[in-house]
Amino acid sequence: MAGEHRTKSPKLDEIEISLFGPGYGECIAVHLGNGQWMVVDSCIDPKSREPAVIQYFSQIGVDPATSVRLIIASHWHDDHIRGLGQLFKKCTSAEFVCSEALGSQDFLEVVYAQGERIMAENISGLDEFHEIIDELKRRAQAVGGRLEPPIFAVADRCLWQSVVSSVDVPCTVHALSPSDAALLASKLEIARLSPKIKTPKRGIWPSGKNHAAVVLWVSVGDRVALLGSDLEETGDPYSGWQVILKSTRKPQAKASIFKVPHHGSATGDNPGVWKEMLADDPIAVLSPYMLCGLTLPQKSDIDRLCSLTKKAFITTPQKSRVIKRESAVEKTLKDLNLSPKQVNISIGHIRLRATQGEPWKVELLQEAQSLCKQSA
Amino acid sequence: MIRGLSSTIAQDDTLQNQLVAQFERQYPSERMKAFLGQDAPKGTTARAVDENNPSEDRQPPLFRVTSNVTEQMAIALQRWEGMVTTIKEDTFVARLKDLSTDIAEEEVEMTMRDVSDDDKDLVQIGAIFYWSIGYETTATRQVKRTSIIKFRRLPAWSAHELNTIKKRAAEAAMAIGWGAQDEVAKAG
Repeated sequence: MAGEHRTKSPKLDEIEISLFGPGYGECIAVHLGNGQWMVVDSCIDPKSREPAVIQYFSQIGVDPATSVRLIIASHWHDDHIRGLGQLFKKCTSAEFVCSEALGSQDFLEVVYAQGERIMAENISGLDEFHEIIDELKRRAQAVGGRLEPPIFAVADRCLWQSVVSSVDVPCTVHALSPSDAALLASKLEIARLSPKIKTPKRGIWPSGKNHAAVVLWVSVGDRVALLGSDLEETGDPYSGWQVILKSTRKPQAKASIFKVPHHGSATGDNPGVWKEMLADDPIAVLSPYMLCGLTLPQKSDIDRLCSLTKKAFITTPQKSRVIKRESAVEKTLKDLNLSPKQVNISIGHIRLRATQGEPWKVELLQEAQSLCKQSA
Repeated sequence: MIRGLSSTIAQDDTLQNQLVAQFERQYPSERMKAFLGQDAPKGTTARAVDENNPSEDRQPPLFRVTSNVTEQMAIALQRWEGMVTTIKEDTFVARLKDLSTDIAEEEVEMTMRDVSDDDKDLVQIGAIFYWSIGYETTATRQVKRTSIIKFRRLPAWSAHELNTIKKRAAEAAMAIGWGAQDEVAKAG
């Protein structure tokens, strides 16, 4: 019976926020009401190697071609966009949204330069953008070149608003970032990444900065969710969470759901967000990050989050796996003190559903678990 | 002279064949393929004609150009292609694609000491390398486990290539309205 329930799609007036996360990557699916969906970012199920949200839609009987209205790439970091190209191709009636930071011709040059394929497999995520651009071109050709351009997200821009009839649930999606200063910094960085004459070819890898990430404020009926992407607090008054807190143009309702930014790291935390933008004791969800010698959230992050809410959940436990190999290979690796770790092992899914006036129902599927229990 | 070489070659081939057979028995798998992106060395062969006696044999004798390097034999048990993603003070982090099996992506942190002096300058973000672990048979017939990291020396971007990329980007931008605001700002 429980299995049957898991495969049911939400009711038309039921909001759903689903966070998928393997050890590296995340994806959020939001039911905006009335059978319409939005997908923010994408990650791959390590077992099936398919985009996690496509599998989920298939399980609950949602047709991505007709039901998905928006596909949003919150920022260009490969842990957020794996499988996004494949997803966009399947969601044929969806509009594509990305940070205004990527809305330059310089970025397209970077995409096409990486398309020269200097590696067996492109791992920077630019392949995903290549697929999306090709799909947008195909759609433009199909309608005689009269396609609406992609939507570029910038602070305080409304990205989507449902057409409301008396029976529909009203819904709006606002971008709260990136700020003007963050945009400028990102565009300069992308210009620096674009290939220059007589410089050696190499893989293109974005910097680790998250200042141009798109934070979303989603309102469905009486429910509000704040989806924090990977935006960090920079200490600079012109970018990061400080700008969002200072904005007088952002929607004012407090959110009861918080997708914790940047995998719960201290750098993504601004206490003002909890005070001014979130309701009391909100539901906080996050995915972990386990790469580059960095594991997020750290113990101190878990303690901090659990002091702010008891309803904090993580998609997967923080574990890594060293692959078993030929004994001679293992001996050599041990001698060299080198230990390659598999990037992703398993995936978890946190599903939050609520109908108007009812409390949120939290379901922890696959590897998902309570964060505060883990901390104890 | 060529005749004299032939006997040496025959002897070397026998030794090499024995070694290959030994490794095949020990590692009877697909991994017996390559080391450092090349097929398992079987010796470099070339054909030559004895010009002093061209009619002796219409089929020219075989000989192999030998050197210390080609006398060595290496077999990869494990190969990765990697890309440097982070550089720290004494170490760097790389994302790895396993070329030996279908194992999903991996990541490793290496020290600069793992890289040969010739390649140290190439360690930059985005640099691509091959990493092989396997067995090497030295010129003195010693077998040892080896780990070799070789950074790729890729050619530089040419003006022609960059122009092609710029043209493609401009066409795409025009077709889908990408960067339209950017272009307006530049024109302004």
